[in-house]
Amino acid sequence: MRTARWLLGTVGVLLLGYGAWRIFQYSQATQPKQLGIWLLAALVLHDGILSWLVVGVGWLLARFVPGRARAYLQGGLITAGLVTLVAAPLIYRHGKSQPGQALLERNYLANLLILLAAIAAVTGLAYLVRVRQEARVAKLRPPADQVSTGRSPAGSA
Amino acid sequence: MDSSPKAQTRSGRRLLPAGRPPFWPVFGDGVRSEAITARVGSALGIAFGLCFVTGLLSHYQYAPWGWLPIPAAPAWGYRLSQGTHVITGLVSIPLLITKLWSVFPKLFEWPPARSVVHALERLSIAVLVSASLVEVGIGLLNILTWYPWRFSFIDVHHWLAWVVIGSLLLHIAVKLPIIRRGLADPVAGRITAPEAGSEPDPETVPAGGITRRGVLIAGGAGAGIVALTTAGQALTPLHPVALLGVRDPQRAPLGVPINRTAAQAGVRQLAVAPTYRLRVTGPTPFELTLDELEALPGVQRSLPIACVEGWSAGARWIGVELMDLVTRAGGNADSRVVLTSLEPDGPYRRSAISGSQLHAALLATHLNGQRLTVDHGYPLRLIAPDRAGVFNTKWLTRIEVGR
Repeated sequence: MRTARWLLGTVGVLLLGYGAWRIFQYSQATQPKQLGIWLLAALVLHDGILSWLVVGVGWLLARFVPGRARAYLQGGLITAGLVTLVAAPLIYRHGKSQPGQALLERNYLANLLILLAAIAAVTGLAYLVRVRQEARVAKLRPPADQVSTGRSPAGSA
Repeated sequence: MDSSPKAQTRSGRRLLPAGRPPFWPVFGDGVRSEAITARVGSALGIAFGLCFVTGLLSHYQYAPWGWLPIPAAPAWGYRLSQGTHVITGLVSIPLLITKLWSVFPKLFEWPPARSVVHALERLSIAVLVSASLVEVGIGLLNILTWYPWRFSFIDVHHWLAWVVIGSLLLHIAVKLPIIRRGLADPVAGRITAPEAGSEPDPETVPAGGITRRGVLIAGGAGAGIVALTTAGQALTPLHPVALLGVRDPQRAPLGVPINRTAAQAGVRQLAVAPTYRLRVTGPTPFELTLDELEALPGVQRSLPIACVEGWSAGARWIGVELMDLVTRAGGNADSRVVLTSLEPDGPYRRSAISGSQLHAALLATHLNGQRLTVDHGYPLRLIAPDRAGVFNTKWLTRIEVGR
């Protein structure tokens, strides 16, 4: 395993070096300066902005939404956010093509809203099923003062 | 791998305080766990691997070695490989974002570097993350034919892929024990602390929230929806649900999308000029007028056309066998043939064909039962199996039969 890791790492460094070398070799085409700005901007956009937005939303949810409902809300928001991220540039570029290219001709905003509605519906349905299930389980459980272990059952979700 | 104070005391002089400064962000781990990271990371690794291999196959279409021409069979080879490339690339976007979310607190570990080796390792992760984000990002913009940059997309997308794959292999080598531990850690594990911001306070923040399973389902659903709603541009059965399909072959003229219109190529007048001639050069050169060309015996062939941007469509073509003209010009099955478009300039006005693709190639005059439109390459275009769309040269005016 140790040898395999060293081998894998060495191959990785070689491939990484090969790519970087070619980027600088073909600088006329790759414009390393501008590419560098793009690479830095990607880090800033992701680590400096997008991730903190997610942290902020997570903090707000943890603060104001009770645990069980929050689990489903978080799940729905994760799926919705990921789909929106891919759909956003399509919405922005909608209609900016030559006729006949059959390019970007759909109504992506309406389609995204359909997808978001479907995600919300599925998430809401899953939540309701869970609530009903737990209600049924709670009914089957003996009352707290009759539990033999003496400990109170973990009823709160 | 654990942060130990050893490295700091050994160096004698400390560059950074041992404890984190008060402004440094602190995260409760919450639901983030090696179990999630290892699983999402594995899926992303597989997607990147597929993307890299299919990307190299596509690159070969653009720069083949003379002694190894691209085979004509299977005719749907490029349709499959490039469709896979674009779908896995699109699916990588939600997977990458989920993966990066799961390790975000590691960005703020203290001290930022324990040793030179550790600093280099973190630097390689920065390279991996930023190269991956740019690679999938410009890939997405390319299929929208949106180029808000000066560099050559093809060069950057190709060479950056080597950087991504190289730093990914290095990352896997470094993290392999953690990956194995994470994969062995069950998904069903309960979380204790809540997902929270800079100062999690267990007193005021109620426990609960999304579980590991929940994160995997939600992230997987995001990736799945992206795959289902974009794949219809290549996978015909998924066309009805292609809500985020970039190209729509079924809405295109004659059922095939057009990447470069006659207006964009500057051939609107040239293509319909009465002076049009097809010049065939070689040991016995000759010329054909449009009438002579259309009087030649035609054959019909079903061949898909597949674009580097991931869309593809099956189509019926009628045309003259390229080999017939090559033989008449004194060439043979081993000739290397170069075709030139009426297009005054542009990187794809010429393309070369040889080997088994040459034998199977048609000079098409009709597409799906109708005369080619000017945008589709009227009066004459090349169509060959397993050939990237852009090399099926349109508006042909010259055929050079070489040795």
